This record gives sequence, structure tokens and C-alpha cells, in this order.
Amino acid sequence: MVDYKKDFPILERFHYLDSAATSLKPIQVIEAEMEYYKEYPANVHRGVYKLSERATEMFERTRDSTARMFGAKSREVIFTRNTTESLNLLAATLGNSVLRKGDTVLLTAMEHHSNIVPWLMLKERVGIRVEFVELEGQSLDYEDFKAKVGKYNPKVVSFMHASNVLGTINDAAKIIKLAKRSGAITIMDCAQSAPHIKVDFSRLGVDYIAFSAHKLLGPTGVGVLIGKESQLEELPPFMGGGSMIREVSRQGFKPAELPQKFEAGTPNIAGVIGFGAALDYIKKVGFGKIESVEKGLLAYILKRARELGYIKVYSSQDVGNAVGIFAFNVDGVHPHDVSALLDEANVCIRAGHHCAQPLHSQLGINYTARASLYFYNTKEDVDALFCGLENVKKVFNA
Amino acid sequence: MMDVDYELLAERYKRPKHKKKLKGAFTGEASNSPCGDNIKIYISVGAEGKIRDAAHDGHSCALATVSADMLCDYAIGKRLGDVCNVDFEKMVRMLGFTPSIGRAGCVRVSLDAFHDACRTAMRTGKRRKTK
Ligand SMILES: Cc1ncc(COP(=O)(O)O)c(C=O)c1O
Repeated sequence: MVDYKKDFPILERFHYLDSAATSLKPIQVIEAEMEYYKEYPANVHRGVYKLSERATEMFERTRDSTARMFGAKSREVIFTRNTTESLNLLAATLGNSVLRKGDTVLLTAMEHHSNIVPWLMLKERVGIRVEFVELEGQSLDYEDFKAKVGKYNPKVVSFMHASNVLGTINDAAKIIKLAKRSGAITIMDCAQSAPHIKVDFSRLGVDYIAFSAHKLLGPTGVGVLIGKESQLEELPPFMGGGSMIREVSRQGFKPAELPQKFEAGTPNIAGVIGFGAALDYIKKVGFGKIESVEKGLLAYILKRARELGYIKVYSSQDVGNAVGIFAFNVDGVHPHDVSALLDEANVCIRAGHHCAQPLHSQLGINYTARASLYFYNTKEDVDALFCGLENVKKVFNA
Repeated sequence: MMDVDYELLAERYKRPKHKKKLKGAFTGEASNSPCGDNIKIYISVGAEGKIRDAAHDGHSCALATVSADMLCDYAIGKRLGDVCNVDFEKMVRMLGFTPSIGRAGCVRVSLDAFHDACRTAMRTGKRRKTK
């Protein structure tokens, strides 16, 4: 068995079970960032001297790796700050072009706030309609999906590939096919899927996908938006400034070609280069391995949880169709207290609504505790979690 | 700094002294948005300006609930003007430990609700006087 822990030294001291919030970064990623700052800390795309050219090469190398891993062309890959910015870019630019008052944007009941609020902002600004596909258990209600596509004829269908609370992996192919019935632009929030399962942009035929480097072993401050070339060409620019223009006069400007058109200003160069190292690492591990480790551990978690009478599980128990997320509550104990007590044993989990308040309302609860996995976790981490939960039960006599 | 004594916290959380609704009292409310907590504080003021009773209610963790409970304890029997300025430092002294940065919000949500209730009481009190 490969010992990943040596590349993530924090794991020697902590049982880190919050990778859905942000993953740990292997030393290879940290070193790649440091090397940029130490050896070639120049700006990209602007210099014709060696340092700048090396920075540009490394920066663009990450774009190429991203394109290869996700089945896209390099010019279809845009670097942003995070998933949130990628989705805001889309909402803002679609709101400035194709979306009109009364048009419907169809979302789902399980979305993260970052795929709800930008559309609600557009509702205020442009007067679009925002509708939601309902749940059926921990999955989407695909009949409702079909019905709502028929009823509202949405211009945009934006949905999460995998849920950050339920763990459920949505049937992307089916949704995209349904959405195409109304000719809708399709957007997929891959923040929770891209780190865990193979996502093939061109094969899915989706128009846009968005995700964050920091959940995929990469640094914070780097996000990705991949869009079909034909779609991106049609969109107006998002932010204006340096890098995103071909020429500027006092009267006007011509935007740059893709992908620079959407990359105004100096990007997070070190972060993007670090993300390149993260993708190399992921490739070495392989999605097959990532999935098998996570599914094995998730099955083990669910088995342990079933043995305890005082744990209510909210996340999907259909291990074959979920990413490694365990959302739960301990009877009679607030998840904040669960998390704080687990922290005493250096077990890191998250508590709250996980930026999915509408989902929690739908489930009839205010908050959950959430443990989430990545391939570097082990059975010992899960055992520490349950040992901690037994202590929670003891202290609160739940 | 003292460590959190979870056993003590859990004890008071399970058996709070003032967790109830107070009919006809001044109310204040606050939410801690990252965790979805919500606390309501009730203050009922007697004719002579003294707080006759105080209570709290809502969804909240042990730390927020116990903070609210302690604030009620602290307020009852005192004059409204004397308790309105209770601050985070005072709250920390009552608790006996300094909450970590991640949990400071749990204490603040109760303080905010308390201050909100005080403001409602003051405002209404003034209006009554000027009548
Ligand atoms: C499903 C989903 N979408 C979007 C986001 C937002 O990611 P970021 O905060 O990196 O923009 C998250 C992160 O928690 C997420 O889980």
C-alpha cells in the first residue's frame, strides 16, 4: 500500500476529515509554489526575458494539464479565484447578454450558496426567474426535473455534480440531456466531483463546468471555469483591465482571444503553478484509486454509524453513487459541540449548514456535522472519529 | 487561559435555568450565520426599571445556550441601564474560559441577542416616558 501520509505531514498530528471544505496540499505542491517565488518570480504573458518566459511556460503548462485531465481544449480553460468566482462570472456575463426578464434559470434543491446567490442577484438585477428541482430522498427527483424543464423552458440549467452535504453524485448525462430539450445552457458545479471522480467535459457535452483548485490538492485562490469554445466566444467579458484586451483606445477596447478574454489582471501565478503540481499528483494516484479508497472508508463509516443508535445520517448511504461525505447529527447534541469535542482528539470535522441553507431547510433541520474523506485518509482516521463520537455521547449523555 | 470544561458546559446545556419563552417581555434576536444558530432573549422589566425576569430560547450549541443562560442570570434583579453594556470580556469572565476564534461567534450570538433585547426595552421605555 502506498503511504500518502508522508506527503501530507499534517496527517501525523491530525485526523483531517474536512477535505470537502478544502483538501490538504502535498509537499510537492508547496514546493512548486515556493520554487516560483524563489527562482522565477516574474509576471506572466508580458516579458520577453528568461524569468518571465519560464513563469509563463509553467503557468500555461497548468492550463494544458487541466485541459487534458478534464477533456477540454486549453483555450477553453479559464483561471479564476474559485468555484464561486467561476459561477459569478457566468451569472454576470449571461445576465449581460442572453438572459432577459422573465427567463428561467433552473437549479436544484441541493445547491451550494455559490450556485444560488449569483442567480438570485440576477433575479434582482434583471428580473429572471429562479426555480428549483426538488429532492427524492438524497437524490434529485428526475421526474420533477423533466416536469420543470417542460413547464419553465429554462434558458439555463445549473446544477451540482456532487453534493457537499449529501455526497450524492447526480446523473449528469441525464440532466444535460433533459436540459437540452429546452435548448438550455448547462452549467455544472464540479467543486465536489472534480477532486473525486473522473469528469470528462467534452464527453458529457455540458457547456460549462466550475471547480476549485484548493479542494483538489491545490492552493487556495485558484479556480477553474471550463467552457465550450463556441459559448465562451459569445459571452461578453467579465472584468476589464490588463491582459484581457487586444487593444485599447480612449474610445473603446477590443477584448483578447480566449482564454485571456476572461483573465483580467495579474493572476495567482504561484497558485496556478502549484495547482499544476497538484494535478500531477492526482494523475499519479489515479481516480480509480481515489474512488476505491473513499468508497471503502465511506462504507466502513456507515457500518460503524449504524451500530450506534444515537446517530442520524443525512448523507447518501448508496456508497456506489456518492463521494466520501458523511453528514450526520448526534441525538440531542448540537454539531458545533460535536465538532469542538472531536477537536480535543484532533479529529477535524465541520459543523453548520455547509453553505447549503435551502437544502437544510428542505431536510427540516438547521445544521449537520460533516466528516469528509479524501484518498489520504485511513481506517485509523475513521476509528478516531468514532472514538470521539463515543466521548461526545458520554459527555452529553445524549 | 483555562480549557473548556465540556462536562460542566454539557451539564448546564442540558439543564438551563432560563430556557423558556416569556410572554409580554421585550425581545431581541440574533443569528450566527455560518452554523445556522438563532437565539432569542426575553427581558421583562418591572415598574421601577429593574429586570424582573429574563429568558432565552432558540436553536443553539452548548456554548451559545450556556452564554445566554448566564446572561439571564446576570441580568435578573439589576437595572436595565446597568446590564446593557455587558461585553465580550465580561462574558468571558462569567464563562471562565476564552473561547477559540472559531467559537467566539457562539458567545457573540447570545450577546447580540441580549443587546438587541436591551435596545428594544430602552427604546420602548423612552417612548413611554415621553408620552
Ligand atoms: C458544491 C460546492 N460548490 C461550490 C463551492 C464553493 O467553492 P469555493 O468556496 O472554493 O468557491 C463549494 C465549496 O464548499 C462546494 O462544495
